Amino acid sequence: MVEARTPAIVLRTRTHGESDKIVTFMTRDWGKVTGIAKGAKRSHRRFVNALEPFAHVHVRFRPSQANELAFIFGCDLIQSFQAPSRDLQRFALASYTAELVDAMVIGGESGQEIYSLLFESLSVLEEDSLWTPLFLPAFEFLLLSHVGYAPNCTACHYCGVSLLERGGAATFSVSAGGLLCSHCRERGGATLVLSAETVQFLCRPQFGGLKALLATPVSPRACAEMRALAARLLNQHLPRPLKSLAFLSQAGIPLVSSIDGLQEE
Amino acid sequence: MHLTPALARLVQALGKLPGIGEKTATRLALHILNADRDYVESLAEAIWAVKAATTLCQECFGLAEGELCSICSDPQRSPEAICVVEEPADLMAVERTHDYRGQYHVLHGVLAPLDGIGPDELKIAPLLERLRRGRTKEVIIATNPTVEGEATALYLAKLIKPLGIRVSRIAHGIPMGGDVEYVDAVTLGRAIEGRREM
Repeated sequence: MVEARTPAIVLRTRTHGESDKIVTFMTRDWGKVTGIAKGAKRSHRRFVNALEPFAHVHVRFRPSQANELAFIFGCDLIQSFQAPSRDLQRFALASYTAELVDAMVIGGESGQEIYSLLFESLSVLEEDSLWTPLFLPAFEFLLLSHVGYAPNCTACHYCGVSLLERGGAATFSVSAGGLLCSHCRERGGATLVLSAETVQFLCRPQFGGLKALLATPVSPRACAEMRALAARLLNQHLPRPLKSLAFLSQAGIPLVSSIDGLQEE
Repeated sequence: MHLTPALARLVQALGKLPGIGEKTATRLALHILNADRDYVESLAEAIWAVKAATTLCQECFGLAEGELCSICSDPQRSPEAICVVEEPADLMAVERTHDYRGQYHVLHGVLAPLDGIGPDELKIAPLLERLRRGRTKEVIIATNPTVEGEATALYLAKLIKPLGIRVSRIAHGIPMGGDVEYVDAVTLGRAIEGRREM
């Protein structure tokens, strides 16, 4: 019997039968893994405090064949992130990031990068000093990039000219799924206008990690534009609407501060 | 194993009960088969009655037979304290302590964004309605110490505090008769954080 061991973050758990739990992890070495933890509701030894959403754990499991559930032997807690239990907004944000990863990652692909991104995002939520309003769009862009859906932000989708050479400002075309320069914007159908600051931010190498991105000073307008852009890109690729978004609106928790004058055409 | 069709049907039905496997279900079915007719009829009637007669209390949403449950209709129970729990089973657990003489409110779940459960899916609005009547001085939040349970407690505290009502949370920590050496780090950390002066 093969036993895999890897660090992982718990994305979600649900009760199965009387005492079992079905748990989805984002693992470092095996990508997204969903498995059954037999007797998890009763066991105070094999799973103690380790099967809570957002827990950073070391999981031992037997990988599944095809679409079957993995069998989880045990889970040891590495770190329990406290912020989601102490702040409602951070709970909502952690839920959103976990659900987004669960929805965007199909199976075993992109394990390490997405695992690291999720770990970094929960660490940012944990520390007040690291938190900025850029958190959400930065997380969304990095996730899109890791799963291969990030648009080319350096050149016009149609003519290929460098956007920075054309003065920086650009529009995002929903139908084309890319950025258009000022000359090609008429061909784009429904678009979202992006300022030069936003385009400049998106043109920079995105792969310094979440904390490095959050250290970059960005105006509230650019932040809102990036959030709007990320939301449109995600809408194109998400297989279903996210449940956590409905919760955020019901609970009256703003995901991002709204900016007057965000231009849509 | 050879079973008559009626016996097989009973084994199958009993096997769906929590904690009952096929072997235990067969034992129970054979016990029922061999029992007095009066006992079997009374068992069947009790099962039917629990489903037919049980409703939710209009005040606290605990289990009741009629409009109000036995706790809400008891004049000896103080309306000044309301203990908020997730499920009726949690209410029964608190009642077993015999230490609490206030009333209850059952939420029927906790906030769980990943499952699409928000405030509108829980009995939060009727709780606020109760509190606005002005008799309550303290709300004790006794949701489970899980991430969702804690978030629900935070959400309720945010809504209740502006009403001028004291909000408290049940303590978390080491069980009676437990051993500090074997308590997990998270529980011990919470216990130290929630320590009290002697």
